Amino acid sequence: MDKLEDIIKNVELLIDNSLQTISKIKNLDELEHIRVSTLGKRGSISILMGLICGFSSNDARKKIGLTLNDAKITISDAINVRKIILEEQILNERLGYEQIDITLPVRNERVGRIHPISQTIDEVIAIFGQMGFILAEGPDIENDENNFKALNFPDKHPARRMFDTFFLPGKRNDSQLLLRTHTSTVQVRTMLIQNPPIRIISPGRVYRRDFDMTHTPMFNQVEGLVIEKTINMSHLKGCLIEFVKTYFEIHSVPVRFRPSFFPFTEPSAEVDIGCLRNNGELKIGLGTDWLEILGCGMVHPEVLSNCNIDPSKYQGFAFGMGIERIAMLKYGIPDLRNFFCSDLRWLKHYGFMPLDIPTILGGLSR
Amino acid sequence: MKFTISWLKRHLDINVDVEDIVKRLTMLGFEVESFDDFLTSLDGFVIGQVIEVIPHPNADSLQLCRVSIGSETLQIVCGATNVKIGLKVAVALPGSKIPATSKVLKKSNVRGIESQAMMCSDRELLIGENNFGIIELPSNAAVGERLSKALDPMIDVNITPNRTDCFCVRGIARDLEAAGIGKLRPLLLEPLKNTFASPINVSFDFPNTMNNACYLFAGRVIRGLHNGESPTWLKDLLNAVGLHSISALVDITNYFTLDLARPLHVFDASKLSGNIIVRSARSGEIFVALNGKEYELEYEMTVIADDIGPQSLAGVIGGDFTKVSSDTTDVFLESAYFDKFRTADTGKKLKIDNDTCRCFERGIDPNLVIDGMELATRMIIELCGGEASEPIIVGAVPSINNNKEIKFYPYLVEQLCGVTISENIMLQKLEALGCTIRKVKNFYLVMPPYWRTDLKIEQDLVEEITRLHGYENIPTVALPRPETLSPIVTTLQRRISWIRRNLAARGLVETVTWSFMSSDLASMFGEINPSLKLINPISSNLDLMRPSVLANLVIAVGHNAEHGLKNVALFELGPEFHGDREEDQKLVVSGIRSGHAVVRHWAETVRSVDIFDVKADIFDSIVASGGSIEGLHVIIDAPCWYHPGRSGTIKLGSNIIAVFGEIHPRILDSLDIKELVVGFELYIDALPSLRTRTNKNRTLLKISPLQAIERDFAFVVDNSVSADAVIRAAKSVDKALISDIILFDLYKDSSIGNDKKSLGIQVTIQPTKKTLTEIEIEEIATRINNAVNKATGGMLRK
Repeated sequence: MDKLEDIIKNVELLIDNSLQTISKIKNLDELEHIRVSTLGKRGSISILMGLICGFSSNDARKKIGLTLNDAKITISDAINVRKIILEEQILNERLGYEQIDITLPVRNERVGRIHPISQTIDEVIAIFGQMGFILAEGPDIENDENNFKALNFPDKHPARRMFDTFFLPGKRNDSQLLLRTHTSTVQVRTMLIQNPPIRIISPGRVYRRDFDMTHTPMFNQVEGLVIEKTINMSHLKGCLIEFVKTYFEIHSVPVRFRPSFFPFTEPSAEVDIGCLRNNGELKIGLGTDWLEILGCGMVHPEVLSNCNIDPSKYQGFAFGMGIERIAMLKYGIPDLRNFFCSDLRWLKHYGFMPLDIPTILGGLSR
Repeated sequence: MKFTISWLKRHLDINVDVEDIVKRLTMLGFEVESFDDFLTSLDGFVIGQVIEVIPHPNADSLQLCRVSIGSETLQIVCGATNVKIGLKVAVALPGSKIPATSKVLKKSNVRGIESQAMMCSDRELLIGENNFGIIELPSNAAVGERLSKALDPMIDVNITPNRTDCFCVRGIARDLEAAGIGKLRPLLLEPLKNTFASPINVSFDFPNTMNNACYLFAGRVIRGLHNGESPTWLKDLLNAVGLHSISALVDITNYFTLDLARPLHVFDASKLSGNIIVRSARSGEIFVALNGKEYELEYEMTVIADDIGPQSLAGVIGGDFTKVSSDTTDVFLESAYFDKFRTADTGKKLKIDNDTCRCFERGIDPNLVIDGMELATRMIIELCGGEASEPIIVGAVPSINNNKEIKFYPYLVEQLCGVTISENIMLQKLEALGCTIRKVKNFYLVMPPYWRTDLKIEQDLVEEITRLHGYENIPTVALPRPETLSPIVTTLQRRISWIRRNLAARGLVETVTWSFMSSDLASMFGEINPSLKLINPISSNLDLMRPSVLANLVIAVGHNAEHGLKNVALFELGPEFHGDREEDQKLVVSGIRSGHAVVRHWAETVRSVDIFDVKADIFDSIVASGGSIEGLHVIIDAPCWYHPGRSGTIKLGSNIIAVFGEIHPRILDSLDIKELVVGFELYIDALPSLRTRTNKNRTLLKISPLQAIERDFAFVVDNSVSADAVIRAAKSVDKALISDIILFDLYKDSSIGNDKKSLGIQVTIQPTKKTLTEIEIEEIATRINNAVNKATGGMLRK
């Protein structure tokens, strides 16, 4: 029969040996093996526990029991700690060999662009929209009536020389077909179908038979028209000065109205903005030079009558400007002709990101 | 129109700087296109006078000059041959920038002698072409003053077409006077002494249809003159506005065309045979003009003829045979009033566009026909000598003054322009313009002067008053805003914007191409509609209104490929024209993709673009613009410009919504495009319109708490069976339970038969009321199997 002291000694020996072995174990399988051989059903602790039957004294039994229980906890804790360490090591090893070169390039995803003409039209719409101008449209193929006659350009009038017009063979309502030379045709169309008050803007393609450094046979214009009872030239000034400042995003830009001539407005004006020209570079809002950006005026009473609006009751103003021109000025785009060349290098450089939607409150442009 | 300050001063007594005149002209409606800003460009240049010239001790070709600039005398080395004592010269002081070279002048040492400044030529100062010698300033130039004071700056103004009265220097002077700038000098109009009867007589011979071809013809002979060089002042004026001096007589006629808009012609009288007849040209008559060109004339063109034939084309161009030369001693001077439309038409038909012709087209001053002749006679005798015959006048001063009295209510100025101007000031301004005014009750009757044919209605007078008052004095008032802002775009306009930005987000780059194209190109993309051919195209490449946006994009692929850009993705949103009626203009968004959809990349396999890229562009555009792809069907049928086996049409009912496909290889080949190109055309007008709903509530979302079940099937079908047919058959089994079908596999192999293909689909069954039992699921699977088999003959793959 073993002595109590011997058993206790054996347990202490077991603990010492186990802890030493555990601390040296390198993998989870061996650790499991130790756990089974020490703490398992047929493990060392269980075997030692069997010796308890050889003692009758409660004290001795109790002592052995407590000792073995403590040993079980100590070894089990050591195994758990070792397990955590080993698992950590294994994860670290995996993370090590799983490392990849994060500098490799991403998968190609193409992002397109918005053409500067569309973007500029959206900017113009955003500005006039919050002044209450409604977007109106009209066809590119027009007749002489809407493009000239209704706008107070009589036949053979020298003012027709202002535009070199493209003609088509046919007629519409007995009037020669042509490509509209200005978006002012939409004024006529709108006034014919709508009673005042009228407040519209109308962007679109226009055509003039001209092709050189600064002219293309097709370009875009935006037309504006306000017909109400008491709208006068001071409102025209207010409206367009506000437009210019908002569009160019320069509050201090000088704006000048000077007399001009258009058959469909009386009085007529052209609008210049202040700029600085220096070695071919242009800075808007600075300096002492002037740059023409648009034409405007009070709608000619003849035009109102031609469109069935009584000029003794209603009056208003109209304006028109070139989209490409204001885009070139704002964004420093040098050559007009490139707008229509579909060159990807140009489109990507001067184009806008798809979600760059211009709004007044969110900021017109970057 | 160009003129110089000294030219203006021949008509107007003024004492203002060129800058001031430029400003005032601009604000009067005469847009100044350019002007010589000598004050800025010639800062640091002064007027000097040569007081001593001695040979340079070390160089034969150089002179050593002492030049006074008032405050001091400078030593200047000079190589010009025209330098002489007493000459007034342009002196550049050290530190000034020579305009022609942009170099700053420094004191220098020329062959051992110090040169303290420089005397300049026209060319060095960029004020003329002359580089032969140094500038010879007028003898009255004030020594020591800034050089700009001795020069005559040129101003180029843009005259609007309504101001026919201002296409001459005097017209501009008259308008400046009306604006309170300077005093107009009267024209010197006393008739000349005439010493003999004109040996040449003038008569009209017109058919009845040409009654108004020439209202008035004035002329006279001037004999015994000498047609030499013009004096410097005349040469300088013409040079400054870009005309070369030819001879005194020609220069004088050119001068009056610009000075008074009074075109004149001088014939060499010795070359005229018999009398002058102003008549209609005979059809086919040949006329050699003084530009050396031969013109075939048409009946009803007006000519000035002698016994031999036409010697001048009325108001358009003179003849070669009777033109004056340095030998000319006797001339016949002509000043006439020809019909403006007829003159313009003749010029246009013969493609002759010159100052004279334009003068007549705008309308000349009828009161200057005889006065103009007298003024010109006076100048000819003054510059060339000789004596004048009595004038010959045929016809009468036309009463073309159609000006009428205009009823004018002064309140209109404020009503129209929002500016307050006192009635007295308004009347003063109208009177300054030459109007005569009568007061009637509470309004005025205003008669515009005969030269202001543009003043027809009350609003014209309002413009004149505000123009003279200054637009800068019109107040600026904010445009009153609507009380509430509502949408300013229609749903269609809104969806266009969605489509545009969505396509750009999908990687396509927006472009804008011409609305016209070449008929040759268009013919590859359908039939040519003759009603869309431009009568006067700018070139044969752009002679037809485009029936296709896509065609322009295909061309763009080619252009980009030439620059080595082969992977192109472009779209354009714009009009197509299918006829000349208004409704034939269609709004289309067309896109094109070429080359590789996936380029070489370490993690991806290279892939060419294919029709499923553009098919996706169409579907995504429809969804992004608020539409639905439910109910759309894809039909194997597309227009001839697509590959017949790789293209399709997307329809809603019988409406064609879009077409797409590979561009026909024959088209690519004829356009010399090597890359594979796929494209689409989406007809935005054909999309069902979106309704703006007043109730913004969404339908209630019902998420099933029951788990969805996924089942895979692989059907072997004939190659001719469309995948769509298989999917639709499977879906038709239970539209409520089957929530989704994905086609995940397409497999072809001889093991299943060469004319067969296997289509793998994944069917998602979403129970709605209760979890389905295995038996129920099996039953659905069987029904799917049967339905596909029945519709397509497809068998489950073993």
